[in-house]
Amino acid sequence: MNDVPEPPTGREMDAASETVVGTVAEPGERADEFVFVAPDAVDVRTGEFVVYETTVEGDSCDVLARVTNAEQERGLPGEFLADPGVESEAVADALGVPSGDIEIDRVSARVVGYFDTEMETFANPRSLPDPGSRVSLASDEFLEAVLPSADWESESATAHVGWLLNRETKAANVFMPIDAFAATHLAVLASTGSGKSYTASVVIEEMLRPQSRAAMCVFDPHGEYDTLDGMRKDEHASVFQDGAYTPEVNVVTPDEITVAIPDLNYGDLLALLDEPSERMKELLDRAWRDLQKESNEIGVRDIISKCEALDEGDHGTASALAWRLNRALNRDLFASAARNDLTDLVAPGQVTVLQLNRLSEDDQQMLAAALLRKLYEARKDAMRGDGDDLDFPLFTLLEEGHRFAPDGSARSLPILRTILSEGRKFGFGVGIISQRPSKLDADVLSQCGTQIIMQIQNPNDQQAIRQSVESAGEDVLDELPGLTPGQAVIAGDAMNTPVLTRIRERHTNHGAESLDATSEWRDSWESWHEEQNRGVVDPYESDKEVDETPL
Amino acid sequence: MTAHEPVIGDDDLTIASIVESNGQMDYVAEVYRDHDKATVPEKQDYEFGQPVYVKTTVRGEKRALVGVVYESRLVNPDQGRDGPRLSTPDQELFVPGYVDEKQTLLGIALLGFAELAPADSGQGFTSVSQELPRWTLDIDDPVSKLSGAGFRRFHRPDGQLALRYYDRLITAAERFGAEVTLSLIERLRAETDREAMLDVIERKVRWEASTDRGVVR
Repeated sequence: MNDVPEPPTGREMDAASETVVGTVAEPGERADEFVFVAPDAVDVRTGEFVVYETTVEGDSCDVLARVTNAEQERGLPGEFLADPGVESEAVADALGVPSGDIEIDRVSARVVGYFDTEMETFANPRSLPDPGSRVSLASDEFLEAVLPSADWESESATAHVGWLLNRETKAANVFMPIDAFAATHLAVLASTGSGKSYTASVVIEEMLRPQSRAAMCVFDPHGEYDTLDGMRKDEHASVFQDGAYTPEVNVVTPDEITVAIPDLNYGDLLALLDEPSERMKELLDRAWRDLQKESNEIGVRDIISKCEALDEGDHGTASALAWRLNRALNRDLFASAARNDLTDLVAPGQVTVLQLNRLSEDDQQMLAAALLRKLYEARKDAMRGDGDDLDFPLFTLLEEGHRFAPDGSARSLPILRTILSEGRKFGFGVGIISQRPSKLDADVLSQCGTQIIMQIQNPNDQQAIRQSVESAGEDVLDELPGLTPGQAVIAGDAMNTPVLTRIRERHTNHGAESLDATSEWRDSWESWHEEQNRGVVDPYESDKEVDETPL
Repeated sequence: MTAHEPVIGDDDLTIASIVESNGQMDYVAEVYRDHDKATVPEKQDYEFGQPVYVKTTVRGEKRALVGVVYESRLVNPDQGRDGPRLSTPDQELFVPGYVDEKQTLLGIALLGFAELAPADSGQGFTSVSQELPRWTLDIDDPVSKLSGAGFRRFHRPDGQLALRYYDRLITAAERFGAEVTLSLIERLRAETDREAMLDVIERKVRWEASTDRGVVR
C-alpha cells in the first residue's frame, strides 16, 4: 500500500456535499443540539458530520454538526410483527399500509460550529438552525481540511493516520498535525487487542516520513516495535525515502541496554538498595555528591571506596552499604561510564526502539527515569545554549505507559510529570500508550493534549478518561464501547473537534499479533511427544539387544 | 383461477336496490320483498358481512363495484299506529296509506371495483382494485350477491391476498367495522387456503377493536 494521500492545501471549499440528508424539525434536548428528520433510505450514523446553512452577523455560513443519535421515528405496528412466520412487509402490503421507504428517522445532532478562518477553528454560531432548514452531509474535502487543527499554508508536516469512519473506505483522509501533538504530548488509550501498538506504529511511520524526519525514542517493554525496520526496505522506498534520506531504525536489544551509573541520581540509587539505614543513606548521599563532582565515570567499586573513605569509624556502615550496592549494581545492566554522546541514541530521522522485555519492571522504570532525565537535561541545555548534544526536538513513546507513569509512585513518574508539564517549551514530546487509563497517573493523562482513544469497555477506564481528558465529551465517550479494533476517536489539540477514525494500514509489518494459542500448543505437544519417544526409541536404534524384561 | 373465470353469473341473486347514500362509499339499499321480483332473497342472502356487487357502466365500460353488507335497519311506518284497523288481514290493500311500507334497509360499504370481461356463461373480473371507487351508484341499481369465486378473485388483485380497503371499511362501518372485517376474514378462510397472514390480520383487528372500545388498555 504505497498510495500516500496528499494533505489539503487550504480550506476554501464548499462545506456541504450534494447529499441532502434531512430537514431540521426542532431543537434538541440540549442547548447546542437540534433534531432533524431523515428518510430511512438515507444512512446517517452516529458520529457523522452534517452541515446546515445559517446567518451569523449578516453573513451566510455553513455550520458543522455531529450526529449524536439516530432513532426510528415511525415503523410498522407491533401487530404486524406478531407472527415470525409471516413477513411484516407482506401484512403491511395486504392491508394497504405503505411500508419500506416510508419509514423515517429522527436524528439528533450537536452543533460543532462554523469554521472561523481567522481563528482557524470552529466558532459557535450561538443559534440553532430554523425548523425546515435543509441538512446535508459535510463534504469529504471540507472535513479533511477543517477537522485537523493544522496550518495548511505553512510547511508543517501532517500525519496521515486513517480515514473518517462513517464515510466510504478511504473517502475522507484524517490528518494529524505532527507539530501539535509532538509539542503537547499524545495519549493512545485502548483496551488490549484494540490496536494500540498498531496505531502507535502508524504514528511513528508518519513521523519518520521524509516530510517530518522526527527524532524518536520508543520504550518498548514487549519487543513489538522492531518490525519498524521495514521502513528501510526498498518496497516502501516511495513512502519513506527521499533523495539521500532513509529513516534509521535503531533497535536496541535487551543485551545492549545499559544504565550508566553516573546517570542515576541519589534517589534512584537509594531505591535500588535493600532497606538502607539512616546512617547508610547519609553516607551514600555524601559519597555520591563527592563522586559526581569528581568524575563522569563511576563504578560500583568507586562508590564503595568512596563510602569506605568517608566512613570514619568502624567501617560497619560502609561494609553494609557495600554489600547492598554490590547486590544492586553489580549486574550487566549497569555501566560505569556516563553516556556521553546522546546523538548515538537519538537523531533526526531515526527511531530508537529500546527493547526492555527482559528487564524487570523496576529496572524498566529506573532505566526510563535515568534516560528521560538525561535526555531532558540535554534538551534544556541545548535550548539554553549550554550544549548542543540534542539541538533538535525529541519525541518519546512509552508503550505500556502505566508502567512508567502509574497512579501511585514509580521511579520514572516524577521526571515524566516534569517533562509532560514543561517539555513543550524544550521541544520534548511524550506519547503515552496504555490499556489501563485508570491506572495511569491522572496528571500525566491530563497533560496529554492529543488523544487517540480506541475501544474501551472497562467503566473505570472510561471514568478516568472522562475525568482527565478535557476534549472527550460525553458523546465521544459513548462511542468508545462500540468501536471495533482499528477504529479510534482522535481528539484534543491536534483536532478541531473529536473525529471517529478508521486507522490506516501499516506500511511495515505488525509485530504484536496475538499468539495463536492452539497451534502453539499443538506444536509444543508434538515436540514434547517426540522428545519423550526419543528416549524410548533410541535404544532400538542401536544394534544391541534390548532388555525387554518388564520393569 | 384466471382473470377470465366467470365470477358473475347471469342468474346471480339480486337482493336489493340502491335507495340512498351516506357518502362516496356508503350506500343504503332496500331489500326486495314479495311482489318485487320473481325470486326474493331470504334472510341468509343479506346477512351481515355478505359480499355484494353492483354493475355500473362508466364511459362505456362495464364495471362491478364490490361491497359488503355492514349494517341493516328495519323500517316500519306502522309503528305507533296500533289502533283498530278497518281491514282484515286478507285485505292488506286497505290499510291506511294503501301500501305496505315495511322495509329492510341494508348499509353497504363499497370496497373496490373490477372491470368486467366476458367469460363463459357470465363475466369475469379483470383489473381488480381495492381503491375507493370514483364513481357513484344510481338510485335503483340492483345489488347482487357476490359468488365465492368473485370474492376470492376480488381479494387477490395482484395474486397476493390483500385487504387494502381495511382502514376505509373500519371508518365507514363505524360501530361494526371490526366485526365486518372479521366476518370477511372468516369468509376468506373458507374460500382460500389457510393463510397465516389472515391470523395476523385477525389478531390485529381484534386487538385494535378491543383497545378502541376500551376493553384493553
